[in-house]
Amino acid sequence: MRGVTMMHRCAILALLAVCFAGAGAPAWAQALAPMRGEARSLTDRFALQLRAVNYGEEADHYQFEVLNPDFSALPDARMDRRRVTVGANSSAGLIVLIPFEEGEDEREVLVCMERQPELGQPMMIRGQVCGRYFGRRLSR
Amino acid sequence: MRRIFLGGVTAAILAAAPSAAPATTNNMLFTGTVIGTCLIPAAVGGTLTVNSAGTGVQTLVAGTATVSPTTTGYSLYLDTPTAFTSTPSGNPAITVTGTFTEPLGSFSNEPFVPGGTPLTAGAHALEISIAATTDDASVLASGVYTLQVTLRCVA
Repeated sequence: MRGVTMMHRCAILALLAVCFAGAGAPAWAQALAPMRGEARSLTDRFALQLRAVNYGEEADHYQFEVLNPDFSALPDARMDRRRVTVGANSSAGLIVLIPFEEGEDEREVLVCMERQPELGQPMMIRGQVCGRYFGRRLSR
Repeated sequence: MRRIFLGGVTAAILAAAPSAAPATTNNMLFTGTVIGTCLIPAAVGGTLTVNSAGTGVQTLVAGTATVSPTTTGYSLYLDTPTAFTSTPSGNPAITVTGTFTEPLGSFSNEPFVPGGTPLTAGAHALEISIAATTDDASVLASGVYTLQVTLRCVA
């Protein structure tokens, strides 16, 4: 019992030492533009042309994910870049290519953008901004 | 001679009179499109401590995040972690629960729900707490444990 108590003290001390992501709130904000959209396609895939916007006062690094509406990964999506550095009050283009599922003429996806955490800083909260997009196939 | 003089004066007066242009109204159209978006200007992790039984961790200092949809139509999703992101050794099976509060707003100890929580337009300053316990009630080994919450603002 005493051993457990000591272990708990050690654990408490160790866990108390875990402070995440710095003390102050950084002045940054990111968004995708547009946040909603529909793409029509004559082929077996559709493309989205988006812009990653950095409203912050400093250049920042961002990474992107393409997800199904239930937030599961969508590995067959292709992006022209998975990470980008965007200058202060600036934006950068992003092209996403998504295949339709077998036999389906519609697909809904989320494209999520998040600020890339700085190396060496454990990040307990990942903040993602996710746009919702639809692809519609016009003919087969 | 006098007639010529009067005629000249009349012509001069007519020439000097301002031209009476017909009144017209021109409407200048200014068109702008408001595209709603959602910003996450701040997300700062919290601190965990061990629970009283030693079988899990709980929030000591809440994490904070500001989510700012510029229009309605956005929802907040918080992923409940299913495992520790890092542990001193092994990775015990755990059950995690999470809540979020908006001290200056309308959310109070709301649980993380898979369906998301609709947000009103404007800044929401949130405090996020989580707790994890081992499924088999085993005591955690000493060391540093990390849990990661993914916060999403979804259109």
